[in-house]
Amino acid sequence: MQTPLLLLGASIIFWGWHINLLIISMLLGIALEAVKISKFSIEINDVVFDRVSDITTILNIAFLLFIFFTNTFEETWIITYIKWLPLLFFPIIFFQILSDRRKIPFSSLFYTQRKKRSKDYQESEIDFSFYYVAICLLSASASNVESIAFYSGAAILILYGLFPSRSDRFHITHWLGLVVLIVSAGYLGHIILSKTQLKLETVVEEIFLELFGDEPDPFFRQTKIGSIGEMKLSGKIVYRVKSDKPMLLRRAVFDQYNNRAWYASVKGWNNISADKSNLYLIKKTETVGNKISIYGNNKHDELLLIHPNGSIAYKGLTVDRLDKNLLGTIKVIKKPGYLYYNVEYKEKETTPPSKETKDTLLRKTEKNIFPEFIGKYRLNDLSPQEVILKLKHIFANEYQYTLDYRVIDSKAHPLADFLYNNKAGHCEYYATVTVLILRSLGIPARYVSGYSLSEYDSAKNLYLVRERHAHAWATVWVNGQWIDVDTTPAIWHHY
Amino acid sequence: MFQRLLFPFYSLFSTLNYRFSLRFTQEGKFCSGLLFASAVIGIDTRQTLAYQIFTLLLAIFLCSFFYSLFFRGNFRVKRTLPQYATAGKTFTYKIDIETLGNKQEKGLEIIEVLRDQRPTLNEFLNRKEPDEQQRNIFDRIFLFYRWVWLMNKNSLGINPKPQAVALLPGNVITVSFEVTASLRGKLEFQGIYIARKDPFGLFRALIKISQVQSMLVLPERFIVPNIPMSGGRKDQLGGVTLASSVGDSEEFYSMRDYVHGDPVRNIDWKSWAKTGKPIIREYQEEFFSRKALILDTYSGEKGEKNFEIAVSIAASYVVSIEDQESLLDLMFVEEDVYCFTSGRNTAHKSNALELLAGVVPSNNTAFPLLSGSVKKRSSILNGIICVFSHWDKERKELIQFLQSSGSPLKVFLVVEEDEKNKIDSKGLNITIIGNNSIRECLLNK
Repeated sequence: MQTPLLLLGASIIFWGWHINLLIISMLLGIALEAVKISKFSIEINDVVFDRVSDITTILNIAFLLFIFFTNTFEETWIITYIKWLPLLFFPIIFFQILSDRRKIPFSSLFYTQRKKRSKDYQESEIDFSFYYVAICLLSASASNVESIAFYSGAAILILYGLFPSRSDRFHITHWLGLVVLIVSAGYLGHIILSKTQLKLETVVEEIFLELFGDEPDPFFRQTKIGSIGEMKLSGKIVYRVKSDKPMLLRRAVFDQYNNRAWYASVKGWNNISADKSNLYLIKKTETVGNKISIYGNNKHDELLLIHPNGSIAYKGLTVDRLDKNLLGTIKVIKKPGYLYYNVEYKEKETTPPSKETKDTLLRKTEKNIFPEFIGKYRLNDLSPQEVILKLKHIFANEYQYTLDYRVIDSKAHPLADFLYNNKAGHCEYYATVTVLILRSLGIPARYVSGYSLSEYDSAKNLYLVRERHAHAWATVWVNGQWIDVDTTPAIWHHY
Repeated sequence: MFQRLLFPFYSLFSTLNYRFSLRFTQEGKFCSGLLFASAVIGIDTRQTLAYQIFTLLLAIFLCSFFYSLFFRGNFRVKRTLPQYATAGKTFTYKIDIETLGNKQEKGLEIIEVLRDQRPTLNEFLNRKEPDEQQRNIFDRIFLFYRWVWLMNKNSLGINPKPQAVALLPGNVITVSFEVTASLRGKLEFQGIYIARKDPFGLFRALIKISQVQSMLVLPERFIVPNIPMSGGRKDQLGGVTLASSVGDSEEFYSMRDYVHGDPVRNIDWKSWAKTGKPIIREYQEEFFSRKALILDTYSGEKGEKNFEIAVSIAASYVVSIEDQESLLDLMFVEEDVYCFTSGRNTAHKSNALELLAGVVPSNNTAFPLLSGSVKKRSSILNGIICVFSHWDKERKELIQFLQSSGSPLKVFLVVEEDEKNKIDSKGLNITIIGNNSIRECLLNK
């Protein structure tokens, strides 16, 4: 089994084209093919191959550790590693092509096999070039650039590689006819596969939610930022709320963004005990606040209570324990079953940002996204309240709401792609960019997930909270209080 | 107990591996690997595009499988094997093949089918791989390398490569197979597959033709030093007359005049007719030497490597000892003691080699039987060659006995290379053969 002429060079150039290293890959590809065509070779013994293999191993390990611990890349570390494999394994293929035997000893690749060399051992050799072609194809796929060019290029390379091994029992036209058939079938197949996966995920998610309920993690919230395809939301009622006005009810608050997910940096909880009248007092105030009543059901022993911003007391709860963290998330331990409680609130949360919370943290990868936006709208010249109003205005008039997200530029950061290219997204995008833009301006801000009260049942005088009313927004520290800032275009209520 | 549980898994794995190797060409195996890798990397269609490679390869494989369903043909094959081969040496055999159909058959392959190479449970549990004790603890528990070694042993290290062939109606094509058996034993063929690849060359359609045949692979042989076995010749009447008649065995010596009392049967009537007086044919009695080649079939706990070397040394002496003038008793023990006599037209040395091709290791409890038999026969032997691969008090005692009996004696002991200087052979003339320096040790003595 030998690689046909130019396959190796074409594969590495195909890879370089997909991960934006075209010039380098062309140089490497030309170097490989030039050595092959010229039949230039030098004598390379087993020891040299051993050293090349060892160097390749060290390079791979070092690179793996680097990407795993520094986490400077947008995609997962394994995808990053796969992308760079052709470069990491280039020394092996280059020395193979350069050597006079055009193969490498099998034992050079595996340290345990080298021990056998001292005895009467029949050394076997392998041709690494086909494996290298496969590495180039798989690495190119990790670029994730959706276009017909990838499929076409991969098909050409694979079929060209298989051309020499075709059976001479069948005429070339027969073979070509089959090529047309299987390329078409493969193309159709991958479209169906892609759509099937999205459909399957949605179905499984619905079944899972139905069986186990969606009890969120107070320390972690995975967003759908960067995911393509349509978000499907259920109409299942999760709460009924007695309130005199629509409002946002928060469930969990997060302060740290990393790789499309929000995290709570604070891990500790403060226990709050009930008094004799079963009142859980969160904050002592002199004046009485507004009240709402919440009716629901819990499937798990532990749940996060939904509540409005500025809540000061809870009454009517029959729970074993109530805890609150520094970000304002409320967690209770309660037997599964019927849930009812009243919340008294003041509409403003005055607990200032603490040293432990990361309300102004902005990572390097996100820092570079917003200056252009801030400069364009001159947000630097505005006060915090003016910035908030301006952002609401920009997103309401120049942006759109959609549940069917499409990536415009797959090489760009998903938030940048939303902000500058797409200009359409769901609430997680709006909440995330609002928090991060405000932090860029030095204004403390947090990410909140919860529900929006918008559907009023006049017959029962209650607001119905459905799963599709799940929402995300920002909460901002302005003038000595935390205020909720919802920049998602209002049209989202109609979805 | 645990290793008993492993046996069915290894057996199944070997079957699947065999079928996979038979059905998939080298390109097919490579593409299977790529298919699997693209499935793993492309499992989330949103993270990479590897799923596109997966669907393309899947389409190719489905096409290949489809083509494998439509292969028909009528063929006649005949395999011609040599009678013997020698371990470690390449030999050639031929297969004649013709198509009985009316059309040309291109793009075919001939694939040999050897007998099932999987070891039995008993073999797997009891036969140790050479140097198995040097493997790490994991390998010594899971015994995968023992399994691989046993498979290789059962196939005698032979793996004939498929040969491409094209056939025209009415023409017989002869295909040569060059094969090297690395081990001795019986090489058994079950049949032949005629294979046809799909258009992409990944997958084979097969037609099996039964052709059961076998041949012997004789043990590897070394150049061994001549061992003079003269001194203390004992009269042995033997040879042709031993097999065909009772009484004295005599060789014709000269003619002389008849003397009263000579046996009438010795009168040469033709000479009398010529000369006119009775002439007697005079005979001389023949004396043959009888040697013994003792092969100890117990190799100790360390595996069979030393045993194989001992067999090869024994085979080397079977070939080198002149059988014109002597008888050779090959003695060894398996479940019972075997004594095979060759030379002087009793049986050819090739028969002794055939025996050695199939001899298997025994356990140590059988050695007293062999020792007893050797001691009984020692009085009629002109010379004794002993080949051991294990050394202990019993064997030392046997050698001491044989030395004291006065018969010329040559003893070879095959040991691990690092144990050459540790053998207690005081007072005994033993040639120690290190298992990594066989030829040097043989020629040094």
